[in-house]
Amino acid sequence: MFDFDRLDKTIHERGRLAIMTLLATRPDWTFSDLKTELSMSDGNLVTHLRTLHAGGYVAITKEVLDRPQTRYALTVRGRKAFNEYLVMLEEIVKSARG
Amino acid sequence: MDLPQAAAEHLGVIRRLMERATLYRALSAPTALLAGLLSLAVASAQIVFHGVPGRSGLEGGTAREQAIGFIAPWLAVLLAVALTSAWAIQREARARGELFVTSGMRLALRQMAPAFAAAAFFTVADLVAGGEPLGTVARWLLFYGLALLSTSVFAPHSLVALGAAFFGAALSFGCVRLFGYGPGPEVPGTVAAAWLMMSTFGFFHLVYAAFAWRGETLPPPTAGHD
Repeated sequence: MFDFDRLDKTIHERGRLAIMTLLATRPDWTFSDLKTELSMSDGNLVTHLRTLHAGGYVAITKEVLDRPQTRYALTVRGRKAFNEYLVMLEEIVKSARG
Repeated sequence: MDLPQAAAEHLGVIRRLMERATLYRALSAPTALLAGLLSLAVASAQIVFHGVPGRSGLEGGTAREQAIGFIAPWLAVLLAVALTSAWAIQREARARGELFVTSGMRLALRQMAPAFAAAAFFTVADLVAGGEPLGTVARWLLFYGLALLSTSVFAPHSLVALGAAFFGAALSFGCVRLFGYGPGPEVPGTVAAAWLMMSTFGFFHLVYAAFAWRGETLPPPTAGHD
């Protein structure tokens, strides 16, 4: 029987999982690109990003080019946690089939 | 929902998101087919037109007139392919209910911009200074190859292979010239350049279109874990 407590609850929430997934695909993402790709409201996205940032999974960089822009990237810890989470999901699915 | 089912569903979400975010095909199969066919047509016309003395009327012209005579039809091909590509992207985006400019497109354009800017700069320089057509084509091969290779992080394998083919062709051509080989003096520069365009921009795009078409018609991934 799989121990549910081993799953990272910060990532397991669907919205945060989607954010972590996108962040894992590129070096960094802007807020507007994340919003467009995930079709989330500003408030929802900000809340999830804050939670991930507080957990040490996401780094935030603010820059001002022609306009202020905030970029988000996975930290080393965040990438490790995401990879471990994926391995755990695979384990769950495999054990259910076996 | 039990845990295994939730896990399978989460894996499905991860896979779909990753595929959508990581794969951006900057050159679709129909666009590549059009580029290949137009390249074959224009190159054939140039070979026929410039291959017979007196037919093009450019033999006695200046180097600049010859460069313009060679480059202008290819700029028209580029414009036609770019407009068709934009139209196809817009149509697909509308069908999926997405914006015309996606984050993937922005990323691809940002990555390819330096190589395309360099290609544009040298093409304008060749037009102004009357550059040798073979040299112009070699630079197009090099910069187009580099542009496609710059998208390798998020582009499908077929597009990266296309970039490698153009890059390899440019380097091979450079080696051939370096060792003193190449077309003899009896072959006009525009004809040799047209042959090079036909065998690279024409042939490579047709091969790519065939591979990409196969990939694009595969069924979309399912949500379930397999």
